[in-house]
Amino acid sequence: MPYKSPEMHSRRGRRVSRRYKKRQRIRIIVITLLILFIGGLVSLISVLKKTESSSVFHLDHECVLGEDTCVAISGEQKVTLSADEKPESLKIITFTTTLTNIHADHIVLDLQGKKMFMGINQIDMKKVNDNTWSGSIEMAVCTTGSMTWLASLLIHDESLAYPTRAEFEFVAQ
Amino acid sequence: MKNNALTPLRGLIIFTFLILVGLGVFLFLKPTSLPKAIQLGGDFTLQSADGPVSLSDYRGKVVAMYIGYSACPDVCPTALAIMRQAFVSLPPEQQPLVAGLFVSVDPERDTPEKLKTYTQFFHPALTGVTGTKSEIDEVVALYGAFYRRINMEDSAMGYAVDHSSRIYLIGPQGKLRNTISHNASPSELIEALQALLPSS
Repeated sequence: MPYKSPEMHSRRGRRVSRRYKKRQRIRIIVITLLILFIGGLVSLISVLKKTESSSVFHLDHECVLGEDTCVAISGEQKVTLSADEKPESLKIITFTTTLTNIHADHIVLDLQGKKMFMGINQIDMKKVNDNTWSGSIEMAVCTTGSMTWLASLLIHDESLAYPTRAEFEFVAQ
Repeated sequence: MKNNALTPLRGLIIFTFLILVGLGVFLFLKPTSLPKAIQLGGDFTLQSADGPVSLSDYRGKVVAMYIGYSACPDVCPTALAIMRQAFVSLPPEQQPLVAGLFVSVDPERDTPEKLKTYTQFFHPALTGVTGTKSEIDEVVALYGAFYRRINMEDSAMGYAVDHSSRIYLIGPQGKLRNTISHNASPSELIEALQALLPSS
């Protein structure tokens, strides 16, 4: 075995120590990058999920609000809307909606002319139970004839950027 | 060998960089969600028989405002009658602290003079105002209301005006605070007015 002076040992030791420190630095960089990578990826996915387009609901069958419960469906999701009586201008009507497979933090009911802006007629519906919401609203307009209205339910889920919208048509004086 | 060891690290750096840049660009460009509540109300100036009237002239008072027209057969007189009933039923010390505004969306028939006669019939604290179409449109938009002219060829009236029908309650600072149905009872209106009066 060749003789190694203490000086050579010390040089080797410094080399090993430098290599160790370098490896440590790389390890720290890799871990930091991994954290940033995973964090960035998770944030991107959650942001994309938040802005995903809301469902398009189709009426399940023809219905007359005030006489029937109207049902709108989009895949597994279902929204129903009923009124305690036939909607009419200047009359307070109580609307009730039920949701299936839709989470809601709050729901706005908006009544609007189908072809014309009829002023702002909106209410925040109140939660009755897990999937039933209700609210009373007056179509505060004085009109001369009957016209087609749209009852739009704007179902807000705090985790989504845009509300889910379900629309129901009705004719009212 | 050295290069091979660094390849995964270089790949990770590039991926992380791209993810972070992508996230940054996405957050920068993504559309903002719609505001949950629309802020309605605001100051305006219209013409009365006694000159221009601004909502800000009523600073310190609670204003009950109705948008309609004097030829309106039922809802407008009903609303004004309820306002009158509420005004006269308030305690005397509160009566000077409330006022009524009747905004006519029918300037063709409702001259300021005609509006004065019409509103004074209900109560002296009611002022009738109107303006040009663009001035009226501005007020109507400010308060989230609507109106439209409906021609009625078979009627002696010639035309009617469909319009929003609610009483807008404006607080002493000039801000829209509440709305109430024109069908509300006078006591409901009194309660709503008193809720906005500054506590003495």
